Amino acid sequence: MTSIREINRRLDLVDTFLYNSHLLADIIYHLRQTHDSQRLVQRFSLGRGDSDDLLSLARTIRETEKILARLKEVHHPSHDHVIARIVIPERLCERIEGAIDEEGLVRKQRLEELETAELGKVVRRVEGLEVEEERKPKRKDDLRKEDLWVMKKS
Amino acid sequence: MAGFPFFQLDRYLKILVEEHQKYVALCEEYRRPVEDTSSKLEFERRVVRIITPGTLIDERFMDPYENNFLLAVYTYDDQSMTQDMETDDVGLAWLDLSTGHFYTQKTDISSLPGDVARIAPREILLNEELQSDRSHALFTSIEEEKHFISYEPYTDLSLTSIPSSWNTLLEGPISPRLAKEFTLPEIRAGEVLLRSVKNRLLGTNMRLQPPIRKSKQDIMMIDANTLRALEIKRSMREGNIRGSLLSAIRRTVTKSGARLFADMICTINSL
Repeated sequence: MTSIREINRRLDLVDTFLYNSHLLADIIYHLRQTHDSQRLVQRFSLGRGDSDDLLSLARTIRETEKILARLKEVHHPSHDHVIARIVIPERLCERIEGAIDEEGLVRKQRLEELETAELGKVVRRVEGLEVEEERKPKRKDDLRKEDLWVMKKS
Repeated sequence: MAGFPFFQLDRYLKILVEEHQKYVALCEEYRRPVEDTSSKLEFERRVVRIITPGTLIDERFMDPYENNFLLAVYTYDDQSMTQDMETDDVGLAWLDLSTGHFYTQKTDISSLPGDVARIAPREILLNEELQSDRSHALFTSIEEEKHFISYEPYTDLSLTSIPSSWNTLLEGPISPRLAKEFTLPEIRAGEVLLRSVKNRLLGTNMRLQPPIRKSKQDIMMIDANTLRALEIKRSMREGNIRGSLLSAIRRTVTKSGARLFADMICTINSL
């Protein structure tokens, strides 16, 4: 870095965060709710994204919106440069939220998890790792309980 | 011969690609069209992707805090030599499939070790003709033991400007003004890079961000030895991130932030 203007601009930015610990804490809190949007977007570019990724993306956009609002609230000249760079793809976010039923997705995922567990059991049995016969019924009970719990939740 | 259930794929990919540094070809089953009578089988299998350390997309074992770069190195050779190129010019092009970042840089043989150390690619593409020519100056900068190297055919590289075939792979077009700035070695390295990625992704369509030129003028150069001696990205003793400058001052909250920070710390740019 050789540009004095750029160095000063960055120092100013550090300054505002250093002396406004509430702002810092808020921004960190929002950032923690975000997902790795770069990799998420690229998954879609390569045709590998799923509905869960879409939701993560929408959530990340919403959090970015909150960060932007928070920065505007402070209204410090050193933030202008940062604020100008953030563009919120509002329409994309609305489309995602309008298209995906979050609760339905959670339910579907839970079912899939159960299926995978079931599959894992089959494999273990094939591999001859299944433990003594006595424990089998117990396991089935566990599974039934889980089923009931899923139904209650939904 | 061995087999494993499909949901264990990630685990075995990690072992094969990361630990044993193998190429893995992924096949999927496709239903044959009914009118196709060339075979009695109902399904056919096609290779859909070849997985190498440099072409990971979203595998769970990828390090989220670091970029997964694939680097193509283009050096002068007799066939593709033109007048506007010096013999020690080197073209670099690298990309991260998991984020879509795509960069190019023009450099020379003597600064190549520093460039390679800075980019820290997971895989390097070299001209297959070099495989038999151990005396090439390139091998003093790129030590084979330390990197995963793939030899690719560098044929038909007579192009002098960015070919239009790049546009189909990019998110947006390269502005004509910027396109002119790309130097010959960079374009050729980029072509090799895109060609081989395309060959490995076979069935998958890929989209990358338009290439960003890194020029030597705006990077404060840190050579390979300094980077290692100052333990900036890796500690000297164990060679991992613990104990390095990066791990000591990294306070980033997000994963993309961590990647940007790692990039900034060794390419201090003068905006």
